[in-house]
Amino acid sequence: MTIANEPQDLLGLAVNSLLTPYLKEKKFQNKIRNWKRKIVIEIKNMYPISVIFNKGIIKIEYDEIPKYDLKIILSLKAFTEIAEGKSGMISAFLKGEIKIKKLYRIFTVLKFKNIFIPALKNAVMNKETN
Amino acid sequence: MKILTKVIERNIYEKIEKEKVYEKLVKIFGTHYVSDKPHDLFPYSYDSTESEPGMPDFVVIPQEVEQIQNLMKFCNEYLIPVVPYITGNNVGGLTIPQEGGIICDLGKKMKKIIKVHESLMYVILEPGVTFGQLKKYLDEHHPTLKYGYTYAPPYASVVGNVLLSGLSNLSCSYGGMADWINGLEVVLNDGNLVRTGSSFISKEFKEDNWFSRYPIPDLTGLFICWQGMTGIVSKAAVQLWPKKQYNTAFVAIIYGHEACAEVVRELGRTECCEDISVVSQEYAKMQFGLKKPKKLPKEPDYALIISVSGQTKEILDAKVNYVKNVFNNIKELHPKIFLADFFTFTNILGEKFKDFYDLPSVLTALYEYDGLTWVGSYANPDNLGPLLEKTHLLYEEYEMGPIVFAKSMKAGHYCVFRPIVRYLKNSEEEKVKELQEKFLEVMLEYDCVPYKTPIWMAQKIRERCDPDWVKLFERIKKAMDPKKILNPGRWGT
Repeated sequence: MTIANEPQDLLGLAVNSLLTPYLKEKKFQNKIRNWKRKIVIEIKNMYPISVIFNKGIIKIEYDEIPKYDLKIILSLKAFTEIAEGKSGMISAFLKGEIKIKKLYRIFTVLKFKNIFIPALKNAVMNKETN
Repeated sequence: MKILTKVIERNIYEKIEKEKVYEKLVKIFGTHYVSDKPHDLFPYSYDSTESEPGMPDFVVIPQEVEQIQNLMKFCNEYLIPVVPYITGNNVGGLTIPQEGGIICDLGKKMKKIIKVHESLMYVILEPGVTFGQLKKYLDEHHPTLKYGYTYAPPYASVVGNVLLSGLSNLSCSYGGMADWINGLEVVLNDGNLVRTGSSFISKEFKEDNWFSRYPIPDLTGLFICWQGMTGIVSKAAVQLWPKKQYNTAFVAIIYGHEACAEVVRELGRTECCEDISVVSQEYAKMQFGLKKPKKLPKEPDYALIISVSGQTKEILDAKVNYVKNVFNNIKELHPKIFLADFFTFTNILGEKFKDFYDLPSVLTALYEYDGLTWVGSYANPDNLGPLLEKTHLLYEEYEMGPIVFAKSMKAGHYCVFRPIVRYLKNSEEEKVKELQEKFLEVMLEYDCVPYKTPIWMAQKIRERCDPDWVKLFERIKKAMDPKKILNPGRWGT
């Protein structure tokens, strides 16, 4: 399991930093081993990146790629509040703080939630705050 | 392979043979603390900048102030140049000898923290005390007091920093570092020893009377930013500050040069921020090991690190609320600015970003190449927007990633603006020199005042500044060093 490229943008670097600790975990490996999806994450008013899962190989690309399977749009505030555990993905969605394109791909949405949200929370929750 | 700096034979030993100089220096400093060997002298002959190298003839390492006095008496008599050197981190070629002579290395053995005055909140230091040393000492022995730290590495000198009026992570509250000096002990050109500031009031040295520069004529100013041209500072008393119990920090993500300038200006004058430091996107990304980071088109332009503290939780909360309100007001005019908790942000992004906050630290990316230089300046915050924009265009023209740093100073009275260049000395030096000159032109056009000025820069300033200032400057230099032995060649002297 590997991240195949070195992201060159700040958001890509952040996602790289979030996912890297999990690459050696069996549970995580099992989750993505056969997964083939293109997910776009956009921080509102900033820019999107694309995370491409291709059977255990991950690529993180700057900007939005065409023909994505899922697109998540959220504000920086929602992003950090989820990380801090102040909000959950579902509650943020219900409050309109997260928008999802191709929501009908419900299994992809759930898998995204299972991969990213624990990684995000883990990065922040048990670490130094101030 | 590095080639040794060329030795230029000079006519400075007319009054005494070079061998006799060596003998005298050994008498003053002892055999182990004097050298005339090229391999010992070579490290003092250059720095990371584009400044021309120049070899000294001797290096001496004093431990006691009397040794420096004896050195100066001797050199004054025989007209031998003396260049004070501490840790060599000035990034301006300031201690590269222009006319040979003797390097007086104060950084190796003059490392005593002489006194921390707890109630008057100052510390008396020898020149060799480093930021890392002072921080450790305060944390262990005086945990209620703190000092300000810079983006310079922990092994840089505190006294060097204040004498050149550098900056720190408390500068938004308390200004440039020269403002923190309460007084100095200085060896003059003829070996006389003088104390400036309130400690002048006693005939003998005392540890308890270094609390202020005023209300006497400010003779301390004769040695600040003079780059060792007027005397050799052997002690400095610098201010410490109460360590506040409650601290937090934010990152502001900014699109646009003018938006960045507006945030620096407006948050500065809230008087709530201890530090507002600006790093360009490329500078921020450099910390993550990207070799030559470029800002991608949709990425933000700047990250600001903003720290706030309070004596109580209530004070901290009130300050944070005010800062957020001001930020939100700016957002109405510049919608593409965002504020996030610094620690959340860095935990997501990675530990390396914390180096911008947890000072002193080594910003390793700055030292990736053997060349590192900048045009650092104090600037008018009203001009920060155009300065950011125009220097970005120059970086683009020279195909170099903009590594820009700025800081709000003293509640927004002024700011620091500093375009930085990392480069390969062998292959990029000429290009970098040209770029530096263009930076300077833009910065002078906007009334920036360069600091830690290398010789070439001082020359440009002299050409366009008030000629009567130059006359006064030269009169003072002549009075302080009539035989031109103190770091000669600086500022066109």
